[in-house]
Amino acid sequence: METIIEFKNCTKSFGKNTVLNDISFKIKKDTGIVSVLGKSGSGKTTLLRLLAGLEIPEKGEIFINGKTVCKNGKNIIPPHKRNIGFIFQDLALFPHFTVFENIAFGLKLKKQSDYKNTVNEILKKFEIYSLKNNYPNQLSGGQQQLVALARSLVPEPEILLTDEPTANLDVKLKKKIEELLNDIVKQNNIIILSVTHDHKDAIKQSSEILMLNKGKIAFFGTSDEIIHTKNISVTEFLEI
Amino acid sequence: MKTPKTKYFLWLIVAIFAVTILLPLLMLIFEALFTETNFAFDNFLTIFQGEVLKSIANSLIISLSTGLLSVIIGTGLAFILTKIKLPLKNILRLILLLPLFLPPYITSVAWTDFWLFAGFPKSFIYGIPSVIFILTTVYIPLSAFIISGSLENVSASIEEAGEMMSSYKTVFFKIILPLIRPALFSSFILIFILSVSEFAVPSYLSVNVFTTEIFTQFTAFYNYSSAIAHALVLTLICFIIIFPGKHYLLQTPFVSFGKKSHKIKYYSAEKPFIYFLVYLTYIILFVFLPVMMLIIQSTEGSNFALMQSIKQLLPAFSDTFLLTISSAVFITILGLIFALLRNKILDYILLFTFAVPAVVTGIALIKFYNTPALNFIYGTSAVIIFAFISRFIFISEKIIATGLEQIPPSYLEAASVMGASPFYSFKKILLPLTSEALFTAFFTAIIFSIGELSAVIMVYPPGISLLSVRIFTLSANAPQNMVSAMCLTALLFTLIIIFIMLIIKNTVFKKQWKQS
Repeated sequence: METIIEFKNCTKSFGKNTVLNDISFKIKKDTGIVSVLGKSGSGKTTLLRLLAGLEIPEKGEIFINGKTVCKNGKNIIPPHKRNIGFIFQDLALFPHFTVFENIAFGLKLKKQSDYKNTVNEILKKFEIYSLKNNYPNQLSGGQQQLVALARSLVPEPEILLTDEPTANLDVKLKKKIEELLNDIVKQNNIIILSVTHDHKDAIKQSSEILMLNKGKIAFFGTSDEIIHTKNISVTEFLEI
Repeated sequence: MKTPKTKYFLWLIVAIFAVTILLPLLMLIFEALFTETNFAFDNFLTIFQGEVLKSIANSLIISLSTGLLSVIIGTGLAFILTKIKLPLKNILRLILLLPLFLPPYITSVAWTDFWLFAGFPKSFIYGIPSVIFILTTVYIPLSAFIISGSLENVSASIEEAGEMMSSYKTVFFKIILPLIRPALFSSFILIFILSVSEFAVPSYLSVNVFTTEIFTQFTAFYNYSSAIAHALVLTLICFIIIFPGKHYLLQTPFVSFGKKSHKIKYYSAEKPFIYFLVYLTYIILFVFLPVMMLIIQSTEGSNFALMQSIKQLLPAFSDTFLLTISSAVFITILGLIFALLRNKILDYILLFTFAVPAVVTGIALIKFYNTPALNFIYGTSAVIIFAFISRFIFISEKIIATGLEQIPPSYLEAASVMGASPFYSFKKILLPLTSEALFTAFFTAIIFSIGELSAVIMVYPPGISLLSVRIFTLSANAPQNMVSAMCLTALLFTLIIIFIMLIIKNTVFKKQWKQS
């Protein structure tokens, strides 16, 4: 099967702090959900930001669909041309735009003529159509999460990056978001790279798990494999 | 926003600022130190004569006392305003700020009216204590405003954690005060700089300060080199006093925007009406009383002083309006550019332009632009705009930078991932989200520019009539009721502008997204 994402010897530092150190891995198309696990400061968010093009590794290369997107400390393909959706940890909903305007933002930039229909469709699908004229500060946490998800999916990305998408949500909403993500993977055939702290959910939800420890890959494999691994740093983290 | 092309463009604007505003100040310092190729030592000898030394001492006594008193009283008012639930709080806050919106010379005329009316001895009225008193009433709102913003940033949980372990007195002195220390220091320094530059109030009350000494050397004795040497000494004094607290001044936000992510601890006073009365008394005494005196004095006699004053000041209204608005536009745009490029060197450059006393700024602009080659600037209102920019760009940049800092980087990153160009992100995300800060910077620049006298009195070209300069020059030979009437007119003019600005703020800038 074809590779969609490839990291090749990537290193990223902030000042003297090396956050990711010479990491390499490949993710194949049709993998579905890949969870990125690790302790705080292990480099999970940085990994997503490198893939999105918001940070540039000083060493190594990143490939998307076989194309080099960055190499030798330079971004070759800018973030918006990588066909990636990103749900930020703070959701980054524009506070001065309504729900509709937030979701339409990316489509308008692509000069899509029937963007209104597309936005209305996704609003209905996510059951937030009645909120289309509300501003983010008039929404609950769960509703904001749904808007952020809709906004990142509406340009039909091949890869969706989510940074702790269900943190701070109650169990019911968390389940709803997870179901939505699963549906999206099945229907749209996209890859979701999801940073999470919750390893139990990660094991339940994901096809593959990538675990980082001190800037290195501690584990990369399927959910079944991680349960049976004897790698001490992994078992300690998973409390197996 | 900062692609290489835009970065070059922004730096080009900074370069123009450096040549037009910074260079004159640097040239003045160079000229003060060196005449032709020799160190101009003679110019400095005159400074150490009795009268001049006394004026330096007066300047220092006035500005240090004003700074200290304003911070002490301002802290008390800020505490009541921020930490105790009072009725009509927002209205009280707005009224408290009123003296700051008025040019200081108006306040000095108002208080002089009151003291003369109440039969105070002239030895008090025309002396250092009255100058300190007036400047303190002018600048208390500034310190209260900055300190109140800082108190709002102290999270309730921090105070409550402290209260679990010790008495409130300990919490106040050991936790709250250290946390708001940057605001206390920066308020003090800010007020010191504004007071040491003050020219009209001491001049009106016949107190000889260093700024009046420089002004006299320059305009009465035409002794340019002595005036420049004096200017350098005053600048040095300011730098020496500012230097220890420069970090506080650079780091403290002057304004607090947006909703707080934390709770603010309120104290339920046993008798909240006492605090309300304290506030009300302050407002009646220090805001309404002087204004009432202006009204009483200006209606004295039967010569319709108010109508006459409007007639006298009529030419100044349009010039003042146009020049302060256009200066405020430049100041806001430049403030935004500096805030976008923010780095330490630029911070220090702006602090330098602000720390240079206003009279010195005026002399620097005259010396630089009053040459045949640059007379096309000197003879026009451009030089006034330069003076305003030099004086107030620091404050505007700080306000805008505070607004920019409150935009999470993820907003721009999200826009970038979705395909927004840097310019599109700037237009659609950054500008709308900083609109409140930009408006505040614009508003502040207008208000400060209307009251500015010390720099513009040196540089205003023939044919241009500014309200502050016109009242100051006319008041030298006008009867007291006429002076009061002119001040009342200027006050009404300022209030109309404030009123228009508030309407704009509440209509154009009314944002549903800001209301929860």
